[in-house]
Amino acid sequence: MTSSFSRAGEITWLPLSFSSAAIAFPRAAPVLLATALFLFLALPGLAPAALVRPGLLPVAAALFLFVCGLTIFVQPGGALDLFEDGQILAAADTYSSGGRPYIDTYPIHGWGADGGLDAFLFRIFGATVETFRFRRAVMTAAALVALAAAAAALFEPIAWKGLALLAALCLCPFPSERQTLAFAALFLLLLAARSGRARDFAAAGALAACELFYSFDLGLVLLSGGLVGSSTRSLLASGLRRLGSGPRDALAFAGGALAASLPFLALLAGSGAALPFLRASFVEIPGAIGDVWGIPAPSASALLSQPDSRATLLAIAADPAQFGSYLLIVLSAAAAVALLRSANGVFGGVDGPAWMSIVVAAAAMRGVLGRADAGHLAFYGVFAGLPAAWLLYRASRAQKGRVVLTGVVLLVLLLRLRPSSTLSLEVGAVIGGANAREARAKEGVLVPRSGGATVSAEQAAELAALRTYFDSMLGPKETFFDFGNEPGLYFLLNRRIPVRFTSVPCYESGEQQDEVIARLERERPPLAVLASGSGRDAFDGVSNRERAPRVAAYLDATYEPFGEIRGRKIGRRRTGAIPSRIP
Amino acid sequence: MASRAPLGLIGGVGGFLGALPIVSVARHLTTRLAPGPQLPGAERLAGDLKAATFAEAGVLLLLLPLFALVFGGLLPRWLERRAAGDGPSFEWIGGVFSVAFPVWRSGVPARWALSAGLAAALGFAAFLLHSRRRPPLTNRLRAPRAEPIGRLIATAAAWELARRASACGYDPDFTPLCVVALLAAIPFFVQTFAPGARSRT
Repeated sequence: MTSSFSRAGEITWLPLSFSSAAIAFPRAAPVLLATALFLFLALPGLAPAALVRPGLLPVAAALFLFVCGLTIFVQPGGALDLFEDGQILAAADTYSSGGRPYIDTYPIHGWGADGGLDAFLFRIFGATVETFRFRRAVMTAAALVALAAAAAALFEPIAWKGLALLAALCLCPFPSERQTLAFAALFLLLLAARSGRARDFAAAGALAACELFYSFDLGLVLLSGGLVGSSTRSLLASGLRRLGSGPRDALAFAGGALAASLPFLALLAGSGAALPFLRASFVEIPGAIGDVWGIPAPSASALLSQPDSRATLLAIAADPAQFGSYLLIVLSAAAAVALLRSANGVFGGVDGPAWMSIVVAAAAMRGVLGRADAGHLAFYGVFAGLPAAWLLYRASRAQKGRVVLTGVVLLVLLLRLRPSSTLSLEVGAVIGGANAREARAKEGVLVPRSGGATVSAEQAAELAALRTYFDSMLGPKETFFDFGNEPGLYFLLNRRIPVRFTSVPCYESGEQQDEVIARLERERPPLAVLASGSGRDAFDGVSNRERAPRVAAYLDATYEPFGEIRGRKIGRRRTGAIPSRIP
Repeated sequence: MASRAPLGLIGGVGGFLGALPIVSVARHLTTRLAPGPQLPGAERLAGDLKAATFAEAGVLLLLLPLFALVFGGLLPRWLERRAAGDGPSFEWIGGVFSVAFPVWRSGVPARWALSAGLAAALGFAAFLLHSRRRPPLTNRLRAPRAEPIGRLIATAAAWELARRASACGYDPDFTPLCVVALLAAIPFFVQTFAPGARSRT
């Protein structure tokens, strides 16, 4: 009996692979699942040789997760977000027509994420919404696999690998395509912390650098976290006595990052964009991002110092606004435990990779607290899942007071993490993925440049009205200017973007507003969308007019109201009325 | 001395909790030093200062674990190497330092709460070092004589009268000062129970 079980255990990769195939091909699912069942039960008896091969189970698990991700995220139907998706599509279009990064565009999320990669794919598969959506779905599914790989690299026992993944998913149930390379870099970093090999650190650094050019802020998180983690890991492992291999590891990590950066820098330099990239990424965006896109996070000191202990505990446990403070406390506790283990000379095994994950998660807190809303908390807070799981692991293996410590840590983690509802959410999304796809395909409507993808009937009607209007008012080479934060209109109406900024918050500084005005004076777009008539006119309660008052004044002086199309206020350029002075 | 708690737990938790008022100090300092938002956005609209949030986060992620390390690992180990004899663990210094946290939460300004915690921790460290060289404290405790109690009560009443009569009752710094003085005095007061000290008085 035991032997049968152990033989069956050797081939778990097989039913897992068949299950993946069943999810990918729902019509063949009955046959595939029946075959899986048969092979699982019969193969141990049929094949006398050993059935296990190293790496088969991880590959099968990765495939299963990837297919689950695909069925959730491959959704060619549904409304297009004219702001979020539009930033990518408009920039990709600019690149497709010869535009240069950071000169003709202003990618605030990163070169690759804001249209760079899509422009490349557009050349192969066509510049359509379908290409964009499929690329994003594949990368998001890959992000799920990369996150699982990072969780698996942290622990040896398989149950703890699963628990670490679950903890991360509790914080971020559905990853983003921008996280794919970051998770992969974290995975390599944790592997490097296990092996201690310089080449593994170099590989981690290389992937972190690739992420820098794809999704700039996450690249910075991985590079800074990786550098600090790799330089301090061996110091902690030695009980805070010597630096050990820290400098060598940090050098290898930095060397890998530098080597991987060179091709990107060469590409940028080739188009004269290397300096603009450095200026925009390291001067302009960091200098403005907090003011422009920041959302206030509640004060941790106000929370901790209030005299009513129950109110404090309740806020930490349940107040959505205090989730950031909760993560800070968890990470701080994890860091303290790691340091104490080092001081007590028991830092080893899983602690090295855990230290890496703590440092990376600490670096990512900049994003959690910067734009302190639920979306960004999930996006950046996901890195805290692994340290949280490690904290529980350590408590469960304490030599003294194990039960009490495990109970306390579990209680603290369950204050915020909801494993049961997260699992239900994930399972529901996988089960409902195919149905949602079919329903959207039935309801969706094809529009020009959407390819095989569809948009909602309402959005299709809106786009048709706008397209008819703009085509009747503009020549084939002419374009319009959007002051309503809907850059997706440029792509869907097939008009080029006249300025390098996709939305108003990108050009709030005086210098950038002057640049926009100068470009508009040169381009002289006959029409302008003065307001979108939606919430996009006032992100975070601050109107576009307040954000860019000089551009607003220029538009007032240069464009006259000329009607309204589907809620959008259209302005027509006044004939001969060129303002001599813009306030 | 063998403890039922895991190594470093008492000192670590104590150091961590005791250092929490630094979060407030960091916010206060940053609010005074950093410029406000220059560009329009939710930050300027709400009058928030992101730098202050990041300063708090920095304290929580960097300083607090370091305090836990010092009080839970480095300091006890260092003192253990220098102290003779056996006695309570030096991790309890961190435990005493944690008084800064409830003091801060009671409304005392963070800098005073931290001073109180540090003073108490220093005093307690001195007491522990001293007591390691002597027999256990419990062996030295004697029942107090009733004779001086009347004098003590009279002295306390006079002190209280002086406090009420003077402007001290309205001075916000008065209570923290008293707390610091009291906590700092505790170890020396306890030392008076030692047989040698008692004979000297």
